[in-house]
Amino acid sequence: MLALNKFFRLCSLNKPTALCTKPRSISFYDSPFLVDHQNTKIKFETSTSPEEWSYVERALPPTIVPAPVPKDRYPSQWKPQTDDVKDRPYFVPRTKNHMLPVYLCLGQRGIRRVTKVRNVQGDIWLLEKQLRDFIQPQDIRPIRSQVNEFARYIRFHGDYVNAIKYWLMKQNL
Amino acid sequence: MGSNTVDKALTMLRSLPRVCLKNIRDNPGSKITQKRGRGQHGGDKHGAGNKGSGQRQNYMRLGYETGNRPFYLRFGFEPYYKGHHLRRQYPPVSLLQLQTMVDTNRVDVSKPIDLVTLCNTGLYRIFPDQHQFGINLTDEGADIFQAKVNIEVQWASELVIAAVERAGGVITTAYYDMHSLQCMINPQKFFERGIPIPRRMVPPTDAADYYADAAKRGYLADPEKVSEERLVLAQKYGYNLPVIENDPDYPMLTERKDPRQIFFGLNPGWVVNLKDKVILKPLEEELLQYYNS
Amino acid sequence: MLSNILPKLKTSNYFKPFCTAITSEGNSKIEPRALQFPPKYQKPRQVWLENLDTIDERKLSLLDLHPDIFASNPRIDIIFQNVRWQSLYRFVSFAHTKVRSEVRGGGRKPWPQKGLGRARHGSIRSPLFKGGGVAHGPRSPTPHFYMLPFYTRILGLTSMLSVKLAQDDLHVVDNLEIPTDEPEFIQELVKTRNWGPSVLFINEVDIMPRNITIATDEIKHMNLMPVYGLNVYSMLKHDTLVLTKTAVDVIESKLLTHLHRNVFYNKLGKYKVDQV
Repeated sequence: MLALNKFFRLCSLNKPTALCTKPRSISFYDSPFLVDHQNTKIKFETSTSPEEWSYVERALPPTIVPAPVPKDRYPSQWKPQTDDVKDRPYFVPRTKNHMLPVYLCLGQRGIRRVTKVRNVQGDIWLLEKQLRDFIQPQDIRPIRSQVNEFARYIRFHGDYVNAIKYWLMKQNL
Repeated sequence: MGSNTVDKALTMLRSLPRVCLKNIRDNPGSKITQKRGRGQHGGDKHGAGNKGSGQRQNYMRLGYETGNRPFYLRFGFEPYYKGHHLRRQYPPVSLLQLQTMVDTNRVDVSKPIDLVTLCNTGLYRIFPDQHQFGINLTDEGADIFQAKVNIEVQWASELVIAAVERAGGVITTAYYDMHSLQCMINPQKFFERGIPIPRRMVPPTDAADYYADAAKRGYLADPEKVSEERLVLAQKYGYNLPVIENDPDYPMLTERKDPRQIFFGLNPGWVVNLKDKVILKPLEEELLQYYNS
Repeated sequence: MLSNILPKLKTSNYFKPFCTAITSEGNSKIEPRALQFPPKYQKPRQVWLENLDTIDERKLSLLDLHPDIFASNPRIDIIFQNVRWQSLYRFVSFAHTKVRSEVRGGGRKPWPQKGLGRARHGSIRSPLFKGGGVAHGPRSPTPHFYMLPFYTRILGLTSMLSVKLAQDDLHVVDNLEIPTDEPEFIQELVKTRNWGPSVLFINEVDIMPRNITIATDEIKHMNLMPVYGLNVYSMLKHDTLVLTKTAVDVIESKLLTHLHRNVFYNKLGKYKVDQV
């Protein structure tokens, strides 16, 4: 309390209150050293009400990505993957965000556009052939592609991301 | 089921010697060994040439044009950058992205959606220290938007407002100052700091008109004028305005924050203790007066 | 080369058709293990649940293991990167050489600049001189701390577990309780079951049963470890990895949570030593 009183005598510019201890126009040499004010107790109450805590839970993020709920129609062009995939010759699992692993890779300052299909399981050569047959009609020149069997990806030279996503969703993958 | 490359690799390992510390290595070509400049391999003058500022490492300053007025000093007046540090930015989210989030269950439609909800999905990030003040809901996907949501954004155009209301939802535009935004983008981190939830500040003078405008569904606008504007938009864009009073989700759709509130249901001045799962509320008169004003 | 290896695989038990849970002496039926984030295309890998009570193994039941963790791509280069990181991040090099200013002497110009016909020098301790300072030598202490990206470390763990399972070096036991605290029991057990000389026992908690702690105390190549200490280097150093059933649950749940985490940029950001 003594430290507080001395402090308030120093700063007459701002009106101090019982709780306000930091007036604005104070310099390093005028401000006192920090003192532990053990006798000032600010009254507070503790609340453990579950409905108030539910608002806190609402503000906190989920730990894992929520699983999509099955619906009859999805207005955005997204479609969930089917579970009936045991008999397929190949399989492209969705990412953890339930999206298709088809990406556009840009190189050479945006001139080179390559479509990459990642994480292909099963017969990757068959999938590559079927995809190439589907997108070939879009270009007169032959579409160049690369299959990396060990890293399990297919690359097509050109921007066919939407076309490949459309084809894969049609296969319910 | 076709043969899997991973299965092939694992099957190969069954016949190979045990993988141990001595027979593993990095992929060939992944490590570039640094070549020392000695002899014919980058040695002698080490790429610095003969004499002059190049070899003596005494270069002219960047931008210097050997005496004539340099380009970076030629133009003394560039008015297009004036006040750029004061301009507010609103990174966009399209209605299509929002619809995708609703379809993939990243965002819960049964509760009001605000900046906190979108940041918690991890699909949208805001950097308040880079003058980014919130969500700008764009009109890409306005034709296919069908989610009935109670959404609170920071900027929305007329078409976006029409699209949301046509789907039976409610849209509000609200302002959050930088300190409030820092609390909202990572609520977990904010609660762990153990400081009281701050009071949201009122919008600055150049934004006050926007957020008090019913046509923009501002949070400071008169609710009756907002209902009028809803009818006006429905007539302008030609759709039947859904009667939200008869909707079973009416309480959720009309849930709004106080102009001084940051989080739904949590008042300014409260301290959230995540470890003990309690909320501490001040009882001091002065604090209550400050936080309730 | 591949043709030499592949024909042998047809006789291996690795791709046994899916079996239902086997009961122990026809007693109570043990529930098949439910997998989190059930795989759609890849088959779950199966492993025997063994016991540690007797020297000869008794198969108690069959357990399903998640293929994303126990049958992921065996990336030897990622395993190597993890081992390198584990060795280097805490390594501090104390090698030290003196710089020309630190070597004793060499303050005076040895001979005049001109007139002698000798090369010009300013100090006898320059790097050009014998006995002079070292120009770009090691300076003590030099830390070699760096953080491998978070998901590279996750991939290292999953690759290593897949490698161990593929090479039949992974065993799952119900618990680490053994009947005696004699080291001979454990050594006899390992020898009979053909588990490599070095064994790493993983328990779910850090408090281990009394008998196994005393038995393996004197044996340097048989080590006990809690599940949070599981790392790529230890798995490579020890020939056999023995996990308890609960440890398998913990490992799977933790790794799958990380692989399906909601917000990833918290983990991908620059590692700050002083920030929580």
